[in-house]
Amino acid sequence: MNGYTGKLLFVNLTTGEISDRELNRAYAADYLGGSGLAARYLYDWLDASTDPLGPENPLVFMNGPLDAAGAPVSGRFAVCARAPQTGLWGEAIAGNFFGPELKYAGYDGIVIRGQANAPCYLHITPDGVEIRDAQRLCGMTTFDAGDAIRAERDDPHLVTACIGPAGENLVKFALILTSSARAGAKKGIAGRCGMGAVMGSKNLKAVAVRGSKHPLQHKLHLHDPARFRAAMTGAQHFLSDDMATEVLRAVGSSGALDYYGLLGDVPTKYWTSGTFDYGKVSGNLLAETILTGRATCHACMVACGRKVERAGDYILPHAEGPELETLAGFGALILNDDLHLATYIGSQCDSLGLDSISTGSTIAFAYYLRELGVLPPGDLNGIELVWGDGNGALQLVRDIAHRRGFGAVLANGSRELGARYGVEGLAVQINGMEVAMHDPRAATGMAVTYATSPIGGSHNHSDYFMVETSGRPIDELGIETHDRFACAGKAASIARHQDWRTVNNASVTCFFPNPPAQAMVEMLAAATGYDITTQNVLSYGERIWNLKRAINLKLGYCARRAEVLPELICRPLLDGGTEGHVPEFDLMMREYYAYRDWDWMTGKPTQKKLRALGMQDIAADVWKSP
Amino acid sequence: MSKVRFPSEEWVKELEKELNSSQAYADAAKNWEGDFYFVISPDKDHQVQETTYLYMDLWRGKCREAYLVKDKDAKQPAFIMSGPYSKWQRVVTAQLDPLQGLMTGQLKLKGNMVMVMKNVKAAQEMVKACTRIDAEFLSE
Ligand code: SF4
Repeated sequence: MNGYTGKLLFVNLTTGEISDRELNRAYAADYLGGSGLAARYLYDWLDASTDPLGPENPLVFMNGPLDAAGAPVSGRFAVCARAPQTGLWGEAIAGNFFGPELKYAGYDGIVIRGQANAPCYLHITPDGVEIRDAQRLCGMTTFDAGDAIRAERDDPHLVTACIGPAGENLVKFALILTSSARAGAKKGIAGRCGMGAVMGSKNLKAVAVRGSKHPLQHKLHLHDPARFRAAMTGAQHFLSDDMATEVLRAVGSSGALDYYGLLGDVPTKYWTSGTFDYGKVSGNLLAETILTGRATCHACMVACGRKVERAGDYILPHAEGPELETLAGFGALILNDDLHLATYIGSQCDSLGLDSISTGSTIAFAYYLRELGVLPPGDLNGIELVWGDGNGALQLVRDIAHRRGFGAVLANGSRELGARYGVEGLAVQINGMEVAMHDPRAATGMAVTYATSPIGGSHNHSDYFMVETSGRPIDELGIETHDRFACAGKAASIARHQDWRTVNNASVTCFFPNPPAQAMVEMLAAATGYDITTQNVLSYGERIWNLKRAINLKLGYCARRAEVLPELICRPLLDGGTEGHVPEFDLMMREYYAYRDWDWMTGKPTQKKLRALGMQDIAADVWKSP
Repeated sequence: MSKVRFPSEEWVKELEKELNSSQAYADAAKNWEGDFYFVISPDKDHQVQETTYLYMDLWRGKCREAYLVKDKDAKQPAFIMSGPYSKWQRVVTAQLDPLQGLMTGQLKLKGNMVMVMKNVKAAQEMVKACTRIDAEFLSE
């Protein structure tokens, strides 16, 4: 099977059964790989009765047809399951070297079911697969657990995907972190949706994988290697001359914070202000002061990862520095202008195994509720939450990971925090997922992107703000730029961008650098032999997008109740770069539904749409009588 | 006052004056250190025959000197920003954000990216200063 190994690993942790199964070729042909292919499998296995933290919730790691092929920025993988934080479709995408290594080991993906009766980890090499005891890894951080496994197996080539204490303690937004011992490797963060909690619920501390050491065995079968190489070379040439590559390399993702701050894109003082000295907690200052090196994922010529050995007095585990979202969440969102402290808090999230977006946002919500007087100081066990002081946030990060004190309340996310105090509407979340660090008042397309994302308020299914703020269209896919404050007439471009990013999450490729879509499509077609062109590639994304919607409907999703813009985002800000704008949400959503051909009342894709996408069986399910 | 042609010695001198009288620019660019070549090259849509080099010595919120350079080797500035005439026209009339111009490949920049990304507000104020010049363009 070109572009694939043709094999999935199935593991049942309850019974200890391990087996290889042939990849479903029809599923792969329609849903490609990554979170698209995982969704097709999970559609068959999930229903409304599946407990996200029960043994019946399958956890699926899936790589994509471009993994290990050498295509630029293609060394990623998806991890998917029903999400404990939202009860909906859950997926997280991460880099480092895990996806390609899994492919080198002979697998397109892993399906993990059941629940081990004691902590364990999965050890996968070309010599075999075994479930090993992980008792002594319990309580270890994500980084330490990976290092301990490599030491225990005396195998520095193992790439690990580990949970930290947060995953073990079933924090609803616990992450999975991938690491390897390669010099200059960037951490991989499968952050959103609490996939670390799903892993923890299975008593699975880690998955450790090493592919064949024999280089020839690494060779992946590609449908048309010469065509693949030609497209790959074109993409590499483009990236080497692209300003975005240069910027990401020099200042990392968080180097954009000064600019985004000016535009009002960076949520500030829990979404209630537009003024902060954004340059004080940004990748630019970091690059000038504490940066000690750069780090990269597989096959990436950008190397956006930040190596920071120490930030002031703080020592960072694995010298892993922060991303934009982390610095925004522990900087502007709580008005903390201490770069060292924000950097360190972010590293603690990685290390303890917490998604820094949900963690930062939930903690910032607590700051806000404290200011409003809604959250009584007595509930905080002596922790002071004062705007501008990040020390309270650092303490809460530790308490959340261990579900200690007030941390146990925050460990369920901001929706539950709001509900506890009768102010659920003030939580900036959509479907239980904390909204990412890009304010829709600065780039209105994000309002629709967040509201319709299959996982809740996420930018990982479309970073449309990038199109709006960079002015960079994707002409060959009909993705246009519009004025960032405009609302009417934007929905089609947003939907097309979601479809494209959905293809990226199936391939699985990184969003940061953007080689020409034409080259990426060529590589996909040349790797797999599928008839994919720039004319039809978005139909793959659209099919997957509709499939994820169908999964959510199956899980009990109620669109008209769910697709609501948080109250604080609907309030105009009088200061800062949003210039008082708020998205005309209803108008944009109506246009979006019309473009998608979705039914407004039920949120269902129409039968006609599903059939046009070749999803006859799913159309029948979605529209069957209750 | 009569219009000044873009690009020209008169135009860059006007810009120098505008920058040095702008408190907003002084504040936004207070950390900027580095001189510039703005390189305006011919493009097929306009009558521009040759490449123009505008030199500006920008230092901590002030423009220390600015002039048109005939010999491009005369200076080795810390930053070189280049692009075709039509794109520059859009920048100096505030129709194209310079950072967007760079990200979309319409303009190119050589120099320290950290300094550039830290000082995006200075670039915005510079564009505002450009729009205050009563400029004449070839397309008019
Ligand atoms: S740009 Fe950064 S996150 Fe993306 S693949 Fe490269 S190193 Fe990894």
